Amino acid sequence: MRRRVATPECVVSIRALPGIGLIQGDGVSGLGIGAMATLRAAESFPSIKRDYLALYEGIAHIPSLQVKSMATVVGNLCVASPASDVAPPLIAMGGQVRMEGTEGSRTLPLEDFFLGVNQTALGPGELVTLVSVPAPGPGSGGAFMRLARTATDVAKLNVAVMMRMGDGVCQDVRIALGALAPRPIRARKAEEILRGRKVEGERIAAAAEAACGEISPISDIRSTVEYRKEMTKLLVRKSLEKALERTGR
Amino acid sequence: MPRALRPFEYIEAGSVEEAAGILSTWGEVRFTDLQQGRTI
Repeated sequence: MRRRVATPECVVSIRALPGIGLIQGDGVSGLGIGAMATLRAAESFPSIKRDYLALYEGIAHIPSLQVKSMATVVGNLCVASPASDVAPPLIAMGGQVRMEGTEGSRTLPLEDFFLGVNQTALGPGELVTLVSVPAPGPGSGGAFMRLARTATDVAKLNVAVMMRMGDGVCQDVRIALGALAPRPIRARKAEEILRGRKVEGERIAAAAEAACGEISPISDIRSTVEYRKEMTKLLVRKSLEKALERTGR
Repeated sequence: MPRALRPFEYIEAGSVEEAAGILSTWGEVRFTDLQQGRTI
């Protein structure tokens, strides 16, 4: 609107809706982030830094306090940028979005919310009111990593991992990748390599290699296909190692 | 922005239903259309 590329006839503010700006929950009950909760509010929420570390790291990588004080978590998701630093952590943590409209409400896994570059599953007359995240559970650890030209630039790629260990094996793992496809994606083949097995060096390397086969990066001003593929292997490996360490196995 | 300078109607929704109703009445502006300089 500021650039006059859009001239809407009507703007609807949802700022006054009851509870719309709240962040609630903890590491036991799960997390709920209202549509008007800013990135800064999320970054400052004690439980997010303590219990949802991958999300905290994703937000903390956004350097501008001014942006974080104005922009919202849900707004970041609704732009549906493939390079969002907020979407991969929330996908890795099993996040869901609640949409409400004239026909009622519905909930979608966040990974199904993104349809393509700047395209979401939101229908006409629908708005996202909440993003929720289940409690991580005991033995869980998460990590987020990104690579960019400068600290303030959009990511060349980013990776978020959530892992749960138990009885010496990986009980569950979710790997989410950003800026490597038209929308944030899960690396499901890589996850399958780890799930139900011991997590050690060669298996982590195999998972990172598999993740590389699940992406469809482009060459653009920020990077090339080849570099993005190589760095995917590296960042997936490092993210898995960091998440594993944080499980306290 | 002072009200007189707003080149659009500004509505403060009091409920989700009201917001959704307004959105469905006025249509929506998608980001992809913003990039193309169009509104729908």
